[in-house]
Amino acid sequence: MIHLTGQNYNARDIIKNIFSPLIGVLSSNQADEICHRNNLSFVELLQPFAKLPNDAHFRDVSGTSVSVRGLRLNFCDVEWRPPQTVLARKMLNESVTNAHNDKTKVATIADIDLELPTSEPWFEQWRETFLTVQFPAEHEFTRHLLSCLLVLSSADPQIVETAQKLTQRVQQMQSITPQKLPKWFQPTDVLNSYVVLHEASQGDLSKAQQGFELLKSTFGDNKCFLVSINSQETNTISDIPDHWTSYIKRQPKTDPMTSSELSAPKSPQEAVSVISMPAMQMSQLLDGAAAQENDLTMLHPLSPMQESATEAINSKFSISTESIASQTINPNVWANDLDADAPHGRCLAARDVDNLRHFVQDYAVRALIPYIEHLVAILSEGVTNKKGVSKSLLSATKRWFVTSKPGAGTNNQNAVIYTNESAELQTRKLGDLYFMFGHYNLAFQSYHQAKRDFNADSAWQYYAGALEMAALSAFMLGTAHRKTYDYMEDAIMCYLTVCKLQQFATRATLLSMECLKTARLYSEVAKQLIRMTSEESDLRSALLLEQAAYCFLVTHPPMHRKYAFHIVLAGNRYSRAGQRKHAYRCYRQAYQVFQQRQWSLAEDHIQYTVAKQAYMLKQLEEASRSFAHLLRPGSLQSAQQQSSFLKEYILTQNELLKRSPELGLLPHALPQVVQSSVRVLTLVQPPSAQPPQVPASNIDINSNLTADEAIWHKIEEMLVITAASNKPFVFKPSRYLFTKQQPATECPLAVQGEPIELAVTLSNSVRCPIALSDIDLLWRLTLDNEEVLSNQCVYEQSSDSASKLAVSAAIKTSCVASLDLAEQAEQLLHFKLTPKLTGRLSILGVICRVAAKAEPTASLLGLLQFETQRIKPTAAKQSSQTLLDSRLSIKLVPQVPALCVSFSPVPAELLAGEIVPVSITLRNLGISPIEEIYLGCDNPRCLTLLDQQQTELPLTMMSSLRDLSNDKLVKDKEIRRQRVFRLLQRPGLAALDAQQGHTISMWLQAPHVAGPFTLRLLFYYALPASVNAHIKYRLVRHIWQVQVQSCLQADATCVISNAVNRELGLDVSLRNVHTAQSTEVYINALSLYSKDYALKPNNLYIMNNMEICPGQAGNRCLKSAKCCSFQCRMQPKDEEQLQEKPNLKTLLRTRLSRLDVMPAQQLEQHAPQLQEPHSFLSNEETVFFNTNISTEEFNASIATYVPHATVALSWSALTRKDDVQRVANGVHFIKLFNLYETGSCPAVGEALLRRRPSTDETHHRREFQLPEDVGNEAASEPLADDDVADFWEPNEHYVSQRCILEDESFVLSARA
Amino acid sequence: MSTYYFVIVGHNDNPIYEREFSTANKEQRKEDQRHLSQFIAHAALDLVDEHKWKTANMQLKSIDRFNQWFVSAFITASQIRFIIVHDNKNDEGIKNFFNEMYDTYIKHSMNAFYKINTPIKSAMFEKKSDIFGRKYLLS
Repeated sequence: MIHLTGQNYNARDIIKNIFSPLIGVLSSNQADEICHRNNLSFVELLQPFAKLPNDAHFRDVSGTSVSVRGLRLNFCDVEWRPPQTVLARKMLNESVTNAHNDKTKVATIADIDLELPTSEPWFEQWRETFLTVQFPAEHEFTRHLLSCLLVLSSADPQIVETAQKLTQRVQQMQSITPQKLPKWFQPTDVLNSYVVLHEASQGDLSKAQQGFELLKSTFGDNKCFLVSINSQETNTISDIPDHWTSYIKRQPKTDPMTSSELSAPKSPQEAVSVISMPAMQMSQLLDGAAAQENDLTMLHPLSPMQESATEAINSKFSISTESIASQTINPNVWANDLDADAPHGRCLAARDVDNLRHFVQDYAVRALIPYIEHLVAILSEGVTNKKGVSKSLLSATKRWFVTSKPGAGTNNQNAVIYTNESAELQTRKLGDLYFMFGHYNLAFQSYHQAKRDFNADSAWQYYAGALEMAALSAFMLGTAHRKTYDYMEDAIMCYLTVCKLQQFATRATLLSMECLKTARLYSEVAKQLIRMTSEESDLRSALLLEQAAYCFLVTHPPMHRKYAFHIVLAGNRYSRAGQRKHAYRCYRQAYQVFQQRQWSLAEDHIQYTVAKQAYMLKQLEEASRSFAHLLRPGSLQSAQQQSSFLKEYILTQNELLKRSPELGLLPHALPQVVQSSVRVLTLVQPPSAQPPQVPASNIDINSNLTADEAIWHKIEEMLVITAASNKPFVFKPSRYLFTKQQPATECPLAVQGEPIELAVTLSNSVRCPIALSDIDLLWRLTLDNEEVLSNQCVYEQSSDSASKLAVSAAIKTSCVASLDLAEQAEQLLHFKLTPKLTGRLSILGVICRVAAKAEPTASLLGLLQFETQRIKPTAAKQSSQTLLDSRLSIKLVPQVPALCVSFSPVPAELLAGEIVPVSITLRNLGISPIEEIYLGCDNPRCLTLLDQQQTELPLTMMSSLRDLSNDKLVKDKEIRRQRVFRLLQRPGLAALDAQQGHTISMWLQAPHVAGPFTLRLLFYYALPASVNAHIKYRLVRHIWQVQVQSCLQADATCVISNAVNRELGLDVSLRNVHTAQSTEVYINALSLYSKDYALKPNNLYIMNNMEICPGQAGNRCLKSAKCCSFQCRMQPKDEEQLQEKPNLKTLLRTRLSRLDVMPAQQLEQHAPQLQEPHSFLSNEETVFFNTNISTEEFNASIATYVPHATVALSWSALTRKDDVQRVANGVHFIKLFNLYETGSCPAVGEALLRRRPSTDETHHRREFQLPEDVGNEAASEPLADDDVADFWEPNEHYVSQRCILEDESFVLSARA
Repeated sequence: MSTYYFVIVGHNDNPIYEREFSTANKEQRKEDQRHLSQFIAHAALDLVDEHKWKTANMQLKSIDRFNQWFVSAFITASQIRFIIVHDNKNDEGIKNFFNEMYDTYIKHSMNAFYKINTPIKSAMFEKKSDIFGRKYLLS
């Protein structure tokens, strides 16, 4: 037996072991019995001791003594035959299958950590088996039996007869011609020696001695040996270590189940499915078949191919068919009659082992070496004698004149048949003998000679053999150089191309590999190994490719990319050979190089194979991980391919879950959670408003809080400060929406029993549509008593139904039932969670069932995990620590009062200046009363509240009464007063009791400027301090976004209507500028708010009524794009008699005067009376301070009062939108400052420009400073005032109007 | 029928541009070859790295072969590697193609928004390579 494994042999040892002298063994039945007591045969018994402990001395033909160090004898049963092809194939396969090495080492090459196996026992085992199962060949003699040992038992009474019988048997084998197996080195002259085994524990030594002496006298002294063994009883425990385990290789009794699982696939189809990508499977099978017919070499090296049926025939060993037919398998050698697992050598004591060792040495020195010396003498004599005597004249001439090359001449390799006695073979034999006994110098010479002879004879097989051995001799001698490596190269090429002997070429490559490795010529090794890969044997190709791959790693510089390629090729071959474990291992090793390098298709191939092999090996976790990788975003695979990946992924995951349900919820490979898209909203308005009531808009989860948020925060700040009433307070805006842009640095707060909204975007990265169902959120709730609840148990089979119920009662989740994701699409998913308990809630991920859209039945339940996001540090503070976003760990606090706000509907489109009544319904949904409610808004000009007891005058109106510059007014407080209202103020009572509702009326006026209009309302309500330490107050937001359409354009100018009595008149011209044709505008009344003047009640002069026509609601209306104008007269009022602090209502009453113009008769007028405090006149008169004005601006603003009069035009309009007619009421305000100065509403650009700070007039504190007040000299010329003159402009009124204007009498007569 | 697989490989052995040219139509082409081309091109990087110091030329000619596939390579001054895996000899065409692509690559790398070693995603580059591929490789 050849031993190459498990002993860390170096190259020399390996070659020595391969070419150790072969000794045949034939034992008698009794002797067998003795050995079997040790669970060993005689051959096996000797294995551990086959190496000579001491040097032997060998005398060569010239008489010089050569010391042979570490000679190893190769004992072999004479009945042993190399196994037949099929069996040999099976043995080779199993030698690889059964060899494992899970230990790895890490090699770092080019910054890649490669995990490599520490050793490759599968290769060593295979090599050993490969060399063992080879048939001895004709052209070489190293595998021929040199001598024979006949084993006898001392207990045999007729020991001599038995010996003779055995001798006869052996001689029969040796003398048969032509030679059959086993082959003998020198059949005519074989050394037959006799061994007598003596059982020390059983028989009498002296009796054994007697028999032995008898034997010696019959066969000769030097041929007989007595060995005493078995000095122990079987049942005693042996004190010697088991030397045999590492040497004896018996077929382990494999379980048929496991072997079929681990080794070859059952059918070619299965083999195909292991490796090919599914979608291409069919086409490839066809392709493969076609290609096979055409050209084998063109086949894709990584494509699956059926194992060639002819393989077995092709790779048959080069031995005559006759010998194969005659061979039988010796049951003693390969069958399992001896127990493989039982301990060996139970009867052997230490001294028995010594005896065996001694025997081997003794045999070699006393019998074998003298015999070898004898053989050497004979052979050298034969060689020298026949030297120069050529067989024929032809060959002689050839020898001298032709330098033939293998393959150059004729192809008939077996043309030359040498007899056993031919000089050429004698030389070769001599070389083999020298080689086996370590005399490499002479061996090289012999081989060299033989090589030349064979070459001359064109005996290529012989030639190759001699070359091979010559190269080995040189290596063993230590004189290997370029030329001798070339010998080996030539030998391989000759075997391969000329002789077509794959087996020998492979053997030569294996030998060459050892030599070249010793010489560190790794790239040569790789080259030779790669050359030996062929379509014939996948297993061999796989093993050699793997070795080649490792060679690339030890070259200088290491070629890790070549390694990766070849390990992939090896893996592919392994999988074709059915070696799944090795295929799996190889591909995984290759992946270490390819991972994260963007060689996408190569990576996919590796991952797919890994997945398939892992699946077959029942490593489902690995398999699904690899399948998951195949579904990664950015894959280049086709849609069809991806859908089959998805199918297999789902299948694998489901099987994994079935196998190990304890794994619970596995993360999904797809769809992906767009982690940055996770949004959490903790304040959700309960939908309690009854239509047509509109609930407060609050915050929408999908809203982008950008610039808006600053406005809300400002309002909130004003509210909080107002409510805190001067208590020191660090304002921090409360937050409800947490997104990527608004990260949560602290845990968001949510209230027990109130819903939390969560939105997340899922993205499907593959090219096939997928469907999600059974969507839920996975959460973990840590209660206040540190008890942990999670709904994970709902999805685990093991947990009981009671706990499931408890969990589902803790938090209610609602979401859409199913969701379809198109290929490579993204979709937003909304969740609503209602916690019923308090504690800390962590939202961990989305649970859903994923299925391919095409195959909805195969679905997989799993988890899409949320990852904690990192908050980008702001550029301002360069803190090194990374902040983690905590938007998904929410703190749940106990129930608090909850205010629900709803509004009556407001049309989406309003006319400019339109006034809309709005009722606000406030409802306390909580269980405790709300103490106080405040309302803040960003645009107080546009709203008035009905219940507000506005006793105080707005600052601007105050300043019309007296100078405020000496009042100590605080800017911020005044600003807050303008924008913050306290609602439902009930002295001594809470604003809103639990479960109580209240309605407040409010007026809303659209601005006079067309365009989009936004009004924000923020309701604030404080919580009782005792209820909750975390939340001090809560907020309700509402936002109106309205489109304002321009409707009425009004201009007014104060003129001197009568130059004689200097009566002042007011010219008003109006135009309906609404775009819709059907809109009708009615001017109801004109009011003048003035300190000094009042309207004359009966003087109304219509100057242009040409375009006035009857409308639906009255006789006189302005249709679209029509205009009219009129004039009214003013009279000065008496000096105002007001107390020191008048209230708003009185002030308004005193200053207002009213004139009906052309009212609509049939329309109800829903607008506050102008003299009411909540009319918009007071808002118009108020200067609303910008929140960020400076104190100087503020002070300047309150200190000045610009005298002016305000004209208010109340109008009604009928407007039609989508066939619904709507009545709108509104007021236009025009402020007039100077005589002949036109004021407009909506303000026209130039009119605004013309307003200038009339600094020099402020001290007059009178409106319409008439020139005649200063002096009469300017009476005839009303425009003498410089200031007024500055503003003189071309008269827009046409001539007739001008005439009428100038002659009042004419007008009167015209009316009459 | 001839096929060419052209790849530009960055400094981290990562492909930054991949392109296939083939005279065969879609059905004839084996899907399967695409990953094999990647394997071959990747394995050839070892030889490119070995050869690049041995010659002053940027053209490295045919440096490797695997079964019926040849590997030709070109290395830029900044050591970006151009590799073509092809199945028939066309030295002159490949040489011209490499030169033109080198030109195109340089222009593309001058773009301030392009980061070296990242995948090239440019319609212009795509178009150019298409033109040169048809001109030098497939004609």
